[in-house]
Amino acid sequence: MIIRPDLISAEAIEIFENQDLADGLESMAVPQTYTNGKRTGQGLQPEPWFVDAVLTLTDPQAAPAPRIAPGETLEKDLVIIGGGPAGLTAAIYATRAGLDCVVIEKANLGGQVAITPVVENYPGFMRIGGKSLMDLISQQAVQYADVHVGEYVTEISREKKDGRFYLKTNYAIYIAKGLLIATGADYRHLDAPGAQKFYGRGVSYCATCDGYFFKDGRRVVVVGGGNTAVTDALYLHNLGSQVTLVHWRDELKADLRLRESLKQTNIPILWNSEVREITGDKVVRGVRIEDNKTGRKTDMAVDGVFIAIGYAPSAELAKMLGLELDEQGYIKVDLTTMRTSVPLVYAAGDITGGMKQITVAVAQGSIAAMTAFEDIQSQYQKKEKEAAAAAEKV
Amino acid sequence: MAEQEIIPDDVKQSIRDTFFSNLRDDVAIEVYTLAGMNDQYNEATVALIKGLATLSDKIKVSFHTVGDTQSQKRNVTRSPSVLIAPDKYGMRYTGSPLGEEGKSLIVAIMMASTGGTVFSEQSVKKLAGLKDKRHIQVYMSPT
Repeated sequence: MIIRPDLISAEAIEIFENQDLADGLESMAVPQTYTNGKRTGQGLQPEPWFVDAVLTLTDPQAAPAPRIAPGETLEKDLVIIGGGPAGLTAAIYATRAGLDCVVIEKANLGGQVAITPVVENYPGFMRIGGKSLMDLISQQAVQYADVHVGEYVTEISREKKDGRFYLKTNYAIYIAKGLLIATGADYRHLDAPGAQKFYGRGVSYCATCDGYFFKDGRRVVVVGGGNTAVTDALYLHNLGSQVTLVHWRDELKADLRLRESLKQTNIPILWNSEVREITGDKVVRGVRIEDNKTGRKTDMAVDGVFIAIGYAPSAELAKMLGLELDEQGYIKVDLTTMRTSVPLVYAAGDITGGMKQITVAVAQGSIAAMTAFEDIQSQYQKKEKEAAAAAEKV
Repeated sequence: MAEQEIIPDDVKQSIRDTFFSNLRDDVAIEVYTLAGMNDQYNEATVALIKGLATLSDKIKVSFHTVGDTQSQKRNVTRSPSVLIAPDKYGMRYTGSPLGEEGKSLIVAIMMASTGGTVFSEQSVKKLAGLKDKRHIQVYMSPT
């Protein structure tokens, strides 16, 4: 059934064709959801949050976690935390191997890839939108495993007696033989005055999401020099924005192919330059840029600032579990097995640091799942044998 | 002509076979445009909806002008606007349903035809308790 058509109506509003409406929005980032005229969601919302927002007319991202129903406990072989390419691939492999597993994703499926404008280095696709690629991978994964979106872990402990993991989430309690952490990495935030104040008001970490506000000649700077920064600069240029790339070094880290594409566009690059301050009133009006060689500061009038200066690991769970981390905070793993420093805990994808490529995440997800299968099998077979031997003695 | 080309043949085939093969009831789609207001998007929207209508005889399309009697009845003031099964449901696109919204349009047509939902049982239960009207507006860009 279409749910409550007697009471609920829905309208999708394209901002480019309705710029007067877009100008009245509280922030310059889409998607944005309003219910009965009140903002109830910023960004893609997991379904449970969206439903709560419709019911309560508040943005549930700010609301406390719902209470766990007493006794709602699920036993799993493997709990996979994170629904990006690593976690979803792991779910496919683990289930096919014979493990009963679940994927828990706190926000939206697809991870960083889902907000990547275009992917050109995933074999099998010459060129595919990041969202489309992740839709395909997600659709495949849900054929195998339960995938829970909008669910996040609040507590983890380990039973001393049987070594199993106890996970409390905002919806349930899981008892798992193994855990796979694929929580990825989040944007590294720009540490400059104004960056936080103007977030959603001209400052963005997602060109795919927010680029349309800067179509048709609006002036933007893209901060960064890696693949994401250059992809974003090209994307914004193609939308018609007047783009300037600001990079702190004197060469780009991005792939040669991307650097060549950039060259063809004649997008100006400010080398050895760092954004020191973002200024504005209600929205961004300018940036103060410092040449880190000469110390000279210049002000530049801009409408938007897109930040792509790398990622920081989402390692809260790893810390809760006491996993060994490297000096940058990524989980240390044995790359041939994806085992972490704690037995029966595995990690895959961006959370392990390294290349941060979709193909790598996919490969690590499959390796981790297969190792988990082998470990869980042998561990529990061993326990069964020990129990059988003990029973015989009695 | 350009109008016929907006949906590539392989995509048409896939929509017809995968998504529209199980349509049950007729789905009325009303398209509203006004010359001079987002012309390029009006053309694309008309072409898209005409193209979709060729993929199933369950889709019944009508075209209207913003400002005419029908548009006043439906409270449509913006061009282009697309209304899905407006006699039964309150689902509309204000602006052209292109890009990502193309996907949601296909889902909207399927739901309007079959009465199905993409929501979980838990969500359906929660929403069953709703007492007052809700008008949900999602602002988006084609990417």
